[in-house]
Order: sequence, then C-alpha cells, then structure tokens
Amino acid sequence: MTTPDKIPVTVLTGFLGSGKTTLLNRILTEQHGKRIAVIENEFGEIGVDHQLVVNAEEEIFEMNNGCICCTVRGDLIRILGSLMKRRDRFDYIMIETTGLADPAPVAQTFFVDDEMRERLALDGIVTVVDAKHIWQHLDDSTEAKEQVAFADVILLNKIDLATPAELDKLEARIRQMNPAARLFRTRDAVVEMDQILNLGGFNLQRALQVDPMFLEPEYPFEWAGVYELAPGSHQLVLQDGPDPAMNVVLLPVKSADYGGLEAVQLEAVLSFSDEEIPVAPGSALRPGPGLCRLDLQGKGEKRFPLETPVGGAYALFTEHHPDEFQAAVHGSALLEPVVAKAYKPDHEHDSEVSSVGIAVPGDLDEKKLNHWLRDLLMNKGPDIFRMKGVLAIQGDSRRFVFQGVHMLFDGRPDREWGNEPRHNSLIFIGRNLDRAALTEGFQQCLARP
Amino acid sequence: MPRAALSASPSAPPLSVGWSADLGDHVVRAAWSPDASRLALATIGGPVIVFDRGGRLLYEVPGHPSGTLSLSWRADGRALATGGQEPVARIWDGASGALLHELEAGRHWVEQVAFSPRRDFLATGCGRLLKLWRGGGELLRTYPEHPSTITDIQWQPGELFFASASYGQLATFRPDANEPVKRFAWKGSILTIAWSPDGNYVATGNQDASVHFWYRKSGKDLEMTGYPAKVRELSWDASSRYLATGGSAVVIVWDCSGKGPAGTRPIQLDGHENKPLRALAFQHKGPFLASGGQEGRVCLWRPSQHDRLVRMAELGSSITQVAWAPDDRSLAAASASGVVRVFSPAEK
Repeated sequence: MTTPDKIPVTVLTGFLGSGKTTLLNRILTEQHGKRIAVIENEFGEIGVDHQLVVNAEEEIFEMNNGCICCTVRGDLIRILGSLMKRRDRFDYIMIETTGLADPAPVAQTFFVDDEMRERLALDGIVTVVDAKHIWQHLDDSTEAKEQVAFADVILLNKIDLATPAELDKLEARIRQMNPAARLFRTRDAVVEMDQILNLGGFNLQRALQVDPMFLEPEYPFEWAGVYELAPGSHQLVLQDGPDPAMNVVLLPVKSADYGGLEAVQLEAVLSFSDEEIPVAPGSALRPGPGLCRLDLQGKGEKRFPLETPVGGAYALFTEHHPDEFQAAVHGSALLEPVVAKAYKPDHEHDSEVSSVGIAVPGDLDEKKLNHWLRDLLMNKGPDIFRMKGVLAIQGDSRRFVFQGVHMLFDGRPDREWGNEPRHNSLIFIGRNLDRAALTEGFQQCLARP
Repeated sequence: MPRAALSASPSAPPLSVGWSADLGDHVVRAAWSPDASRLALATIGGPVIVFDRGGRLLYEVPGHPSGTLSLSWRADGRALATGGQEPVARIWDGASGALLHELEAGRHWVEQVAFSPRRDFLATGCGRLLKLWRGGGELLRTYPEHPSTITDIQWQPGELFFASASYGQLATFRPDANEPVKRFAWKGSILTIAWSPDGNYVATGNQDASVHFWYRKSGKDLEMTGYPAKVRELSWDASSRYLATGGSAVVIVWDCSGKGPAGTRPIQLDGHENKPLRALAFQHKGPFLASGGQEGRVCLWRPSQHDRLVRMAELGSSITQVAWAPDDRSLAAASASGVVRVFSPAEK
C-alpha cells in the first residue's frame, strides 16, 4: 500500500456575522474540480451542491492527565476518521468553527491524534473579522483574542462599513497581537483563494516574505557607534540619566563603517548574554568580549576611561540610547562616532495577547535549544498559543523550520542554507509573554562560534 | 510499558485460505451470523454484502447511501441491523436481505447498532441518543441524552446489562429502566468497550492512549498507560484471563489471573513490522488470537504460550477487521482496499 499524501485542512474561525459562511461559500464555488469536505459546527447556509457538508456538534475532549495541550475535538476525529476511509477521496477539508470556538483544540487534533496526524495536515487557520464590530470583542472576549492570535491569515472583512482611519487603527491593534498572520482587507470576503488555501502547513518562509517587518531583529542593546580611537586612553562620559546602571560592550572592528559594525553584532549579542562585570566610575573599560555593567548611581557626571593600547576602529554597544545619559566619548576633544546605529528597542506591550519576535544571526546549540524549549513549553505552554520559526542549528547545513500550538511542536529540516547567511527567526504569540525572558533564554541557546 | 522493539522479521506457516473475495471498498465491519452460516461485511461506501460460509454471495443490501458504520445480527440470525452516516438504522431480513424496518434513531449518524446476544433487544447509538428497540422495529425506550456522542455499545455476556461509552463516562443500562445501573465517571474519551466473557470486568480503550479496567461489581478500577497511540482494539480470551490490546505496533496481552494485571509485565507479541495494529480477536472458546495490522498482515498467536506465532497471511492493504466464526472454525479478515479472506486454521 502506498502512503497517500496528506490532505490539507483549513480551519475557519470568526465571530457570528463576521462573514465566515460567505467566505466558505466562496471557497466552495471557486474551487471547481476539487472535492472539498466541509465540517460545520454552526448552522450555516452553505449553498453549494456536489460538496460534502457534515454538520457536527463541537465536542471538546480534555484528557484525564489534565494537560490542556492534549485537548482535542472528538467530533472531528470521529467524522474525519470515517471520511478518510472513503474511496472518493477529498482534496481538501474545511472546518468551520462556531463563533465562540477556542481554536486550540481544533488545531491540536491534527497533532495529538495519531490517525489524524498520519493522514491530514493542518494547512492554516483563517480568521474572519468584522471590521466594524470586532472592537468590542477584542476588548472583552477571550475567544476573539484567541481567534486573532491563532490565525495564519486574517480577513478584515466588511471594510465598507468602517472608515480608512478605523481600519488602520484596527490593523495596528491586530498586528500587535499577531504580527505573523497575513492580513487582507476584504469586502464580502473577496480574496484570492491561493492567499488562504494551500499555505503549505504554516510555511514561515512565506509569512516572512509577505511581512518581513514582523521579525525585525531585536537586540539586547539599543545603540552602537563605531569610533576611530588613537592608541592610549579616552573617556566615556555620562550625565545623570533614568537608570542606575547600564550594560556596555566595547569591541574592536575591522573597518570603521556599517559593514564593520554588522560583522561584530553577533559577538555583541553573545557578550550581552555573559555575566555582567560591575564597573565603578573611574574604572577602565577594555575592548574585547565581556559585558560591563556601568554603575551610574549617585548624582553628577561619571567618567569611565576607555583603554585602547592599539589604535583603530572600535564599536561601543550600549544597552540604552546614549542620549538618555548625554553619553559621549572624549579624547583630547569630543569624538563623534564614524557610524552609529539605533537598534529596535525591546517593546513593552500592554495587551494581554501579544507576540514576541526574535531574530538573531548565528548558529544554535541543539542541546541547549532542546533543553530551553522543553522547559519553556512545560512551564509556559498554556500561554503560548502559536510559535513558528526558522532556525540555524550548528552542524546542519539545512534550515530547520518549526511551528507549534501550545506545547505541541512540529519541526523538520528544510532546504539548504546555501549562500544565505545563517540566522534564526522565530515568533511567539500568546498571553502574558515575557519578552525579555524569551529573548534572553533564546540567546543563551546560541552556540559559541 | 508497551515498547515497540524491532525484531527479526517474523515467520510462520501461512494460514490456509478457505475463500477470498474483493469488494473493492474499505470494509468497516465484519460480522458472522450467530449460527456461523453467514458472514456480513459492511463497506464505507454503503453496501452490505452477505456471503454464506463457503464464500457464495447470498445478497447485497444498500445499507446507508453515504456510508455504513455499524452492523449487528439478531440472536436468531433472522435479522441484520445496520447504522451509518444518516439518522436512521435499518433492519434487513437475515435470509433474503429485504428491508424490514427503518428506525428513527436520532439526528446524527448512527454509529452503533447492537443486538443483545440471546434475546430480542436492539440498542442504537445516534449522537448522544441511546434507544432500545425490538428487532420487529418497536421502540421500547429512549434513554436520557448522554453527555457526549456514544462511541460504543456492548452487551454484557449474561445480557442483563449493556454498557455505553462516551466522553467522560462508561455507563451500564438495563432494558427496563432509564437510569443507568452504574455509572463509571472518568474524565477522558472512551473509544471502545470489551466485557470479559465471565462478565466480571469491563475494559475500555481510550483516546488518551490508555486502557481502563473496571471490576464491575466493586467499581474499582485500574489504568494501563503508556501506549504509543489511542487504543481502539481490545479482545478478551474465553477464560477471561487474557486481555489483548492494540494502540501500538505490538500486541500487548495482560494476564488478569491472580493479582494481575496490576503490577505485572504484559506479554508482547511482535509481528506487524512496526505498523499500528488495526484489529484483534480472540477465539470464542479456543486459545488463539488473531491480529491484523496496518501493513496488511494477519497473525495468529497463542498468547498462553507467550509469543508463539502460529500462522500468518498477507492481504495487501491495511487490515480493518478480524472476526472468528462463532464455532471458531473460520477466521474472516478484511482490508481497507476491500479484500475479504476467510481462513480455516487447521490447529485446534
């Protein structure tokens, strides 16, 4: 017996009245020549012949072990189990959930149940949002937040009922909760089918291509400047600022330009995950790896000598932007950096549901990564709705792509890195995520070069 | 606990084939009539095909047009009940295949039909609705709705009770009362029920990759965990000593004699090339166990002599059913591509 290819499954979520059924009808009419099986959990008006529509009552099965990540949809297992035995095979399966459904058990069904996992592949979660009425739900409904947070594709539907300014505001709000989803503004749920179907199993590469912004790297420092320093001693001078201490790293660079700066960024990231070396005012900073924690307590100007026995270009990485302390480097006179770069600061999100994107160049230590992920998912699994990423594992010439739903994790080696620089991009979407802890934890998994 | 160890490819003499047929569609159920004279096979496409013992086609009934899911013979063999992907159950004449009755079983699929083994009761499970009928089509009782879809119905061998399984509970019912005789509450999804032939134990196979085990009288229970997959295959041997379980590539057989199975190591029968088991059946009176795997092989074991593999056969696609004739002289096996083979195991 040959193993049949897995049948793709798309889960359609959205509140009652958002336009789910309109979209479903559109999919069914536009996908000519394809056999689509639809599992409906809500009484909808599907007006398309020749397609199999099964109405099912949502049955959420929790497991005796109490693990929410093992919670699955019993109705889907039973019904899909029967459908898959049929000779007239289906090309596609659509599952329309009720407006108040939690998307997690649906998604988890395709990971947890062995039969489902073997024969079906969750292709994507599509969430339809009523652009006019979603606001009230985003504020007070856990389900609405979860439906947005779990989505791979979000349709901002009924745009004719909202002003462009309202739409921009809504889009920004949704982006903050789930920057990884592809977002389309639609009227009557009109959207190209290949934007919502056959996404290829949460293909992150595609998500990145569509919206590279969401993984704009975040660094443990906010600023770096490259200085030409003559041999001898210089001064880093800081005035009073908002924090009692600041971490800095001083690294020699090959050339006093952006290329030189970028070449040492990874080293700086690694240094920032080192143990801090306390440095009191008046004590010297020397170039090289090692994280210096400048003591900035007390009033008045603080001076830290920079010792550079060899002249050349040096990059100073600072935890906070130097403007916050009117920080400057003095030689015989005030020195301006040859090049300077501000890095995206770590965000503070107020929203309960948010996302954390991490992008760092370099290779990961597989053991450390496994250990970290295991601990993380065990402790925070219930709060992590979705996670996706592309990773560079030390010793493997291929990209490693993964995605997960709560504690469930699905990953595999992908294509070769080739000439592309090896880097890691991942995103977590969930509730009460601790950005600093996630970023730091991940950076601890980097392999020493 | 269950561990799938790759061993050398097993070998055994072939099972001797009595007859063979190709139905061309996934066989979801195989059931011998109580007098062993007929074999009914339900296909997922709908048709139910009935052969005589020698392999002669007797009749075919349409079953349920969008898919047949369940099948049961009445004790006298004169009626055959079917359920499928529509809200009605049907009763057919066991000898001719003529449609006798249509039963309004509820609003969903009729996933369960179960005639009692001696008297004339038929239980149907349709979504959360459990109903009891006479084989003549009269409705005797509609039980209060179950908490979730009924996944299995099995009459106790003494047939004073039957058990129903659903998410969250196993319950036993009498034909003459709405309220369950006993309710075994358990937070988990039960997929299948197996009464021990002596009626003392009831075992369940579960979605969360475990086997649960209740002592019917005391209500005490035991749980066997650690299976690699959900457990849908269970079979007791005639002595009620051995319980064979699936949920793995290896047949796990628990010995319930003495203080067992608590704290004991099960017998492991490894013959399916690391592919999941799909069917298990002990003989009704004899010592042999038949197992069928996704790789398409049927194995015949004698678990009381531990891992002794007695006979083997290949059907070419995933085995879906194995069923012993009530006299144990024939073993039917059916596959996902529709192959049906009836063996006459020589050993007794």
